[in-house]
Amino acid sequence: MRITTLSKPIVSGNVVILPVKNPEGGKIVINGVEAKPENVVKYDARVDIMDPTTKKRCFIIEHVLGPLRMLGVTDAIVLGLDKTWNFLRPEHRFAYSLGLTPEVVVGREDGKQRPKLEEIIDSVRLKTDKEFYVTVAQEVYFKTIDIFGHRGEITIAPLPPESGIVLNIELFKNSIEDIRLGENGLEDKHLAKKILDARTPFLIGIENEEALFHAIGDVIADIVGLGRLTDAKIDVKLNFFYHSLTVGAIKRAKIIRREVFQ
Amino acid sequence: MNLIFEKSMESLLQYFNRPSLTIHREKNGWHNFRYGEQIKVAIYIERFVSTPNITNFDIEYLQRLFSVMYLVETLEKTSESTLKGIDIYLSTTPSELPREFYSKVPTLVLEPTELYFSTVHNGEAEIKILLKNGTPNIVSNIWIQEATIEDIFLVLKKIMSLKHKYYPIERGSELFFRKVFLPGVILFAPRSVTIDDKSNAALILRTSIPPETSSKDIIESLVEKIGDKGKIKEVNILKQPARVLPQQEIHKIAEETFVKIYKRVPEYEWFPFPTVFNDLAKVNDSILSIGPNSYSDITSSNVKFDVDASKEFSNFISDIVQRIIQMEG
Repeated sequence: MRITTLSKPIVSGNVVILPVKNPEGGKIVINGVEAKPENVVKYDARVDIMDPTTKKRCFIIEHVLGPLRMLGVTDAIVLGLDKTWNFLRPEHRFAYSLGLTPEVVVGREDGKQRPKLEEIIDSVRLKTDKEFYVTVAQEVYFKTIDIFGHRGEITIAPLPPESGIVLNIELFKNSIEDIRLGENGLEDKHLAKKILDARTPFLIGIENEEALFHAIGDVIADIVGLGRLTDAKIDVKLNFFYHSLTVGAIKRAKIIRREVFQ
Repeated sequence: MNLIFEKSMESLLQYFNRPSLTIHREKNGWHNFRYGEQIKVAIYIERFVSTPNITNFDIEYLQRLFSVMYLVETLEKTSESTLKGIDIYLSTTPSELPREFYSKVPTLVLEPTELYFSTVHNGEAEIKILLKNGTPNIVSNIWIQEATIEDIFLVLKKIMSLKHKYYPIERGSELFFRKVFLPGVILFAPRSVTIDDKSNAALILRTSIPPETSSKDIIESLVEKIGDKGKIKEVNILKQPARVLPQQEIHKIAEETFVKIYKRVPEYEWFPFPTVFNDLAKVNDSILSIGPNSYSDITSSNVKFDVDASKEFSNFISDIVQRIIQMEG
């Protein structure tokens, strides 16, 4: 998979997405904090990261990470833009408690992934000549039982370079199989649009079909985004507070990486 | 646990009367227990219920109280020097903290936070709404009174309704609402209703006010619900919201201790109404509000006292207290 960044900065709702000069493959930095499994400090209803040295914290990063990877962007610098407090949001209250400012929260207030990002990314997507391949060293199986007793299960299996990501996902009564993610992001562009416009299941109901679309974005964020994966087969049966399952799995995975220079 | 339920408030207080007790002061429903001269850390346990006896609604209070009882008992056996450095303040009714009980040493305010760290507490305002009628209020005009009561009911229903810009809030999802949105909402609840000789009804409302909320914001929020600014007669801020930035040594120690005991990074959440924290925050920036992981829904009859949660929480505060005392010493 070719390392891909942007040709120029773009604004998408409450964030600005900037190009990376020397992209290294799968590195997305949000508000100065690198999105990687070791930096995740909260993973249940949302995903927050924190730099262990600076203690800078960044909230709801899955709604940046998933959209970028599902649209084929592997490397970017992202900065939050929110200037106004919305204290109905727990993340804003958390940030206010610490004396931070609203831009540390990069998820949108309507709970959607990142509507219309697909419309602006296409014209600025910049593929480099450098390739990278990342998969798991061996199959990872992880399960969790949520607070309501629902069992969640995930398997991440390695795939050879150029295979891309293959995702089979189930969220309560809804499921989709054979979702494919390659160098240009999700192959099904209609599905990508639906995901980017979908609201979080935690507020619209976990059995809503829209919730499944949202959850696909979240799984891509947690497994592909945080894990920097390019090739893997993911089979996941999600439960409530499913980031415990998906981030829990990627935290346990041993990642192998191969780079090809052209 | 049943043993505690059979006891009165007074008998619970007796527990703190240990052989090493040096001072017991009582004022306005607040008790101060001190076991030494060199006080280096203070602990506050506020009660939010007024009854003289322990009730089902006190379970979360008992969880907090039990964790401090356990702390005292453990320190008495293991580290009397630590016990001598602690000031314990506890209230037996929801009453104002006397000025002389405001501590300036590093302080833990124990509240039902479910292990969240709380450094922001909402304030409280009182609002008067007047529903004009003008009809003589005579006892025999019972049909007029019925109409007045109906008006009051409809206005109160609107005032207490909950709305969210993006998500439907339905009856039955209040607990979810409370956990996710409530601490940030300007919330209204009735305190009293009076009807005068002209059948005009005055409603006094209690209002929870988040930080950065002005009287104008409160009025706008109320107008959105009742649609008539003319009805709003008075807005009195009774207690300002409080925020203490977690930048002092006690916050650092508490965070490190939390990671050690609970194996995760602590999270911060606001407390939805003012407590003794708001008072102490005026004079002390080394304060942190925290409570055991036991408080879910005190309005349910199914809440259970969790001894293990209290003991674990007791160990947590014990570690914090010992580290502060060693540091100060």
